[in-house]
Amino acid sequence: MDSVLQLLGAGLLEALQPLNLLMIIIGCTVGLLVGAMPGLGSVNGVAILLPITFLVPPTAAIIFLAAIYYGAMYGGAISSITLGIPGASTAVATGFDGRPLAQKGQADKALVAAAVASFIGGTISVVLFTLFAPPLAAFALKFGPPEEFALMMLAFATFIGLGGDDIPKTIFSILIGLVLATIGLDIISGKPRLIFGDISGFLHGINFLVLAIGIYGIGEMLWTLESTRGKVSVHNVKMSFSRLVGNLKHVKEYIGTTTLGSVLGYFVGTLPAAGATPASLMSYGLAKTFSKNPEEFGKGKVAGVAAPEAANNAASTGSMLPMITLGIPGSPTTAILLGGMIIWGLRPGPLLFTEHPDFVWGLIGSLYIANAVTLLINLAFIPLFVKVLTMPFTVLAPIIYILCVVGGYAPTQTMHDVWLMFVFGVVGYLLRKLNYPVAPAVLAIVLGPLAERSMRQSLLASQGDFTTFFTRPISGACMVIALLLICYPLIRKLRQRG
Amino acid sequence: MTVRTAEIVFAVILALCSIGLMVKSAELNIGWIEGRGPGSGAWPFWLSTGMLLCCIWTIVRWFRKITPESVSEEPYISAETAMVVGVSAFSILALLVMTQWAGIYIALPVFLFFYLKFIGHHSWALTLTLVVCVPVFIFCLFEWALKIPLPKAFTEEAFYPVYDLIYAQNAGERLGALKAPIVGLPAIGVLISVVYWLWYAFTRKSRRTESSVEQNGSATTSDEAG
Repeated sequence: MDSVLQLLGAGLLEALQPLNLLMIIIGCTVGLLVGAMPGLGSVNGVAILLPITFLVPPTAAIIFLAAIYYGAMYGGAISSITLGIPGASTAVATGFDGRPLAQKGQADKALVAAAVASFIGGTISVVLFTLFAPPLAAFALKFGPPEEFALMMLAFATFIGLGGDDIPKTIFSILIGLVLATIGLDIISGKPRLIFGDISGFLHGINFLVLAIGIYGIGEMLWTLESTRGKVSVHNVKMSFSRLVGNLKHVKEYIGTTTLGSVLGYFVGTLPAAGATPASLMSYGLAKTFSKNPEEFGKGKVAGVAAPEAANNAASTGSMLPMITLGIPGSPTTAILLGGMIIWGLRPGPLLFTEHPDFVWGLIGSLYIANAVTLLINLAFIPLFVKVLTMPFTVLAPIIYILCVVGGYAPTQTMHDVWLMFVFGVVGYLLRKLNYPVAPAVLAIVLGPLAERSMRQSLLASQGDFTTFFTRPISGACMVIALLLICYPLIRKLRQRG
Repeated sequence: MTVRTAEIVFAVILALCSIGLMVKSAELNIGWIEGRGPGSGAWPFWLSTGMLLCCIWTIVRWFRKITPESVSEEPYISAETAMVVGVSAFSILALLVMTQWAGIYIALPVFLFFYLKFIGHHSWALTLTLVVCVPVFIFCLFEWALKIPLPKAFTEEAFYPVYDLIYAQNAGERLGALKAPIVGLPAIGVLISVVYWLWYAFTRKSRRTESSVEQNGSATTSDEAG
């Protein structure tokens, strides 16, 4: 315990370095803005802005991106409450009671409750993260290639079993992501694979950023354009220091549900595919169930705003746990963070704790500070963020398109990747209209090379014996759980019929 | 096209793509190589086979009409959506074509001008501010700070003086590099002034014609009213 506290202390000092602190402040502000914009969420912000982080060292870069992730979770509530349009799916539940409060002229009450609950959720989850990460990483050091492969299968299986999307389309999305990851030179034999039309641009493979920016940048903007037609109406927020203090007095009304939602959100967040959206919905349901006046929910109850906000913030921290300790991202945003770590020359997984403790603990320390910074920025500048929401979509959209084009070009500096990004964006948009989920494809393209390498290494060691994935205790357990998760929707359907 | 039609069309297209990927993977070794494990084509081949099976699964469900998409007769893309989304998609396409052909620093201002003025109908002040500031910001961030050269096509040489300035090793080199902008900037200023004067002269003539037509028109209207 003492060593954890010592390392945490060092991490906090690392996070307080001037550059890192600046990254936290800029990241939180950008995250708040990105989260508040309808149609944009943490995943879009992180995907579009990742190329910019080549400017700073890896620790500062991950701190910046994690701060965006964090800030976006806070920011999602702003548009959910004042516009009635969730900034991201994670803030859908916030609008159930946030919007009625805004319609009653109490938008400030809802926004303050969302900010405070996010802070509580963030703090509880970061403490849980600090406690769970070192033992989990130490345990994961025992993992060999079969365990790594089984763990990745488990991550994909959670998308199929718990994702709630169409099953064959989810599997298709995972598989196409894995196939796209195989394009380029074979990692073991060095032979070129799937080089279509002998186009040399495919030789260096498809960078995950090309797919991520295409889908979450261009595709998402086209989707938002279709759903909002670029027109939104904002509810006014009356905010003054005395009103802020008055609103802070309501904390005791929702502290219980917020704490419960935070713990729930953290553990749901650690599951790949589950993430912040189901966590916030479950937390809302739990708050309603345990409330003395459940009939008031949906009509403007402040606890109905606080519970999902605490959970979605806690889930965002929770999703970083498997990414840092096991190298398995818990959400699309952490999948992009993981891809970023690979670009910066780091190998995500348990070895990070021993090989790059300053990086890991700097990130953990930054989460504590980012939490406080985001709360302060949020409370101080709520009216400003609301003002930003009135920015016409026709100003925002071209700037985002330009950042997508430049961001798609930057990693490999070829126009080939920019064209691919455009194709992915348009095809992703068209497929999304037919209920094909896109998040599993992004997760798969990031994990694809690791999954293939661990599978081939395992098979080579076992002389082609596939039972190696089932005979070792940890990989066997993961594979069995993965199979159960894949079968779960079928079992559920059979039980419903029965 | 209805959602139901789109569902089957996309399922068939994706199935064909999966078969294409299987064939392409099978060009490599998809079996076991002694001492080296699975061949380099094995992993993508079996993944593509899985993709094909998923497409067949979707097609079977389409025939059985058991998914929301397989029974929906709503338009896949309505006319209004096609207009809104299509204009954006084509403007990005145009941005990419221009970037490839003329370089990003010509493509960006043209794209921004088109999007802000013709799609957004924003003021001249906002449009021109963004048309100038966004490319300058992109240049400073990517080329200067990140040292990532962006595509410039035939405009590449025009940037050499700027490169000389930003990559100069010492003050002397920087001063030398500044000679070009010292001569170039007034020249560009003169050029812009000439273009502006021509534009002003041309529009003044047409404005005069329009106002005289309006005056005549209003006179006619008042005559009719009287």
